[in-house]
Parts: sequence; structure tokens; C-alpha cells
Amino acid sequence: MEILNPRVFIVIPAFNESSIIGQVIQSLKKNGYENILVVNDGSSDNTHKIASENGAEVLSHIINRGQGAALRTGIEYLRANYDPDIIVTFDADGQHSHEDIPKLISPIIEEDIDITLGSRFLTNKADTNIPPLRRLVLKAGVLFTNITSNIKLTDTHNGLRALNRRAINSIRLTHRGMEHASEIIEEIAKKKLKYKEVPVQIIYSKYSSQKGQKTSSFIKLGIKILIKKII
Amino acid sequence: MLKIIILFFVLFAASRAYLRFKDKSLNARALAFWMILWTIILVFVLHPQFSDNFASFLGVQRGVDIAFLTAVVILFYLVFRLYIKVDSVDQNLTKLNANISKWMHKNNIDNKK
Repeated sequence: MEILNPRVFIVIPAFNESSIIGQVIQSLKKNGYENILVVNDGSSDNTHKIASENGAEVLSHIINRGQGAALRTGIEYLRANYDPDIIVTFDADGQHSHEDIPKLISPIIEEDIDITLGSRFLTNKADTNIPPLRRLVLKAGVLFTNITSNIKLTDTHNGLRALNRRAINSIRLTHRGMEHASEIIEEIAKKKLKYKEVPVQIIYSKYSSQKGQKTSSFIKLGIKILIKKII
Repeated sequence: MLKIIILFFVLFAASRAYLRFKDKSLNARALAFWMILWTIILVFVLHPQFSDNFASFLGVQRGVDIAFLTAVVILFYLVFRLYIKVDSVDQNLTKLNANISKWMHKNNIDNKK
């Protein structure tokens, strides 16, 4: 079913991003994305204040619970209060570009896709931009998730995604940390959602590299997912 | 000497379980579980020949081996129970945190940081 003039909401989980969050919100606003929800995940800096001053609606966790928990709060809040047609999940550290949002939204509107997932490995330009060790770990993550979920993707830990109403209503996140990225893929398989990978660029700045996931944390992540699967 | 130390430790552990039952942080089933466990340990420590008989009944050579095997199985089970409990508390904490943030936002008492 084609959606005319979809109501698109951007949800941005943020933890101690005061130095960049204003810029991220401004770039989205300048490009016509007015509905922005920042979920401040227990930051100790003034992420809330800056996000609010830049015109985003802000929810604040009183303690830090992780990106998965922040996304869940944001998605549940939007679903209960705005009934959005599409929710785009967007990182707060400046790694994502507003230019990729139309690419994520269009398959949902035109091809009746339930969820689009950004992939940094589908564009040659972005591929060369990835630090070698990060690339190796990401590829291992892709292999791991492909085996555990039986869904073939090229990039499983990319925070840039778009969900239609069916995906918003059916995906249930229980992992509160970075494991949520794998959980979303498992949910796609379980709920039989129609998905599509879309090439997106990831901007690896000095800031985003410092803020992003540590390479070593991917191993812990794998262990957590396995334990959760067993128990 | 070792028997005396273990005896005191078992009595101490059993009294802790009883006190926790008295202040209602342990239910009757859990108290029964701990009391049975400590009683078995006490019997095995005070009468090692009993554990040997039991071991040969189960096809294990020495009584001490069956004690170790049982201990490992119980520890695994307790770690499993603990993991489930911690995971459930963790999930409840996440839900509570989310609900507080929504409530604060709705009532306009946001954390301004």
C-alpha cells in the first residue's frame, strides 16, 4: 500500500553528545525533517539542554541504559503519541548523513518494504573509509548475525534504518545495549517483515571513532547474544 | 579439625538462611531447599562412609567425587537461577527508567542537563 505524504519521525538515541547533537539536529531540520525525538540516555553533560534548544523533542533517561533501551523508549513514545507512518533511527555522533534518509524511506513508500537497513558495505566510497580493524570486526558480526538469524545482510550493526508502521508495531526490543542491532534482524526473520538494504555512507570522524563502539566490545556483544539465545 | 570448621560453617550458613526466612526475604520453599542442602553436606562431612556407600550405589568410586560432582551441578544451577533473576531485574529497571522519562516529559519536569 502506497503512503501519501508520510509522517516521518527521526529518533536519535544520545549519550553525552552535547558537542555535536546541536549540529546533527540542525542538519536534519535544514533538510526538512521537523519531527525529531532525541532520547537522552542518562547523559552527564548538557545533551538534553542543547537538543531541546535546537528544536528537538527530548526524553531523558535518568540513568544510562544503552542504545537499545533508548531506541525502545523513543519508538514506544512515538507510537503511543504520534502514530507515525515511518520512524528513522539515526545516530547522534554525526556518523550519519541526512542525504541517506530519502533513500531509506523511498522503498517503504514505493515498494511496500517494512524496514530498510543502511549498509556501509554497499557503497565503494564508504567501504574504503572504514578503518581496517573495524571492517574485520564488522564483517565477523555480519557472519555471526547471518548464521544466528538466517537473514543475509552485508551490514548488521548500522544504526541508520527506517521502519514502517508494521515494523514499528511488531519489532520488540529486549536487549538494552548494542545487541539490539542483531535483535532487530532476528525480529525481522521472526515476524517475517519485508526488508531491504540500502547503501548509506558512514562518516568516520575523529569524534565518531572515539564515541563509537570499541572493537573489543563486539566480542562481549556476541557472548551476550549467545547467552540470551541459550537461556 | 576440618570437620569442626565445616560444621561451624554449615551451622552459620543455615542460621543465615533461617534469619533471611524470618525477615521474609526468603520464602519457605527456598528455606527448605537450603536446609536440606546443608543437612546433606553435614551428613556427608560427619559420616564420610555414608557418602562412599552412596557413591558406590551411583557407580562413582569415591564419596568425595560424588560430593564434588553434586556441588558443581548445584553451582551451575544456582548461577543459572541468578542469571535469570539478574536479567529480569535488569529488564524491569530498563522499563522503569523508560516510564520515568516519559512521565517526566509529560509533566514537564525534564532533567535539563
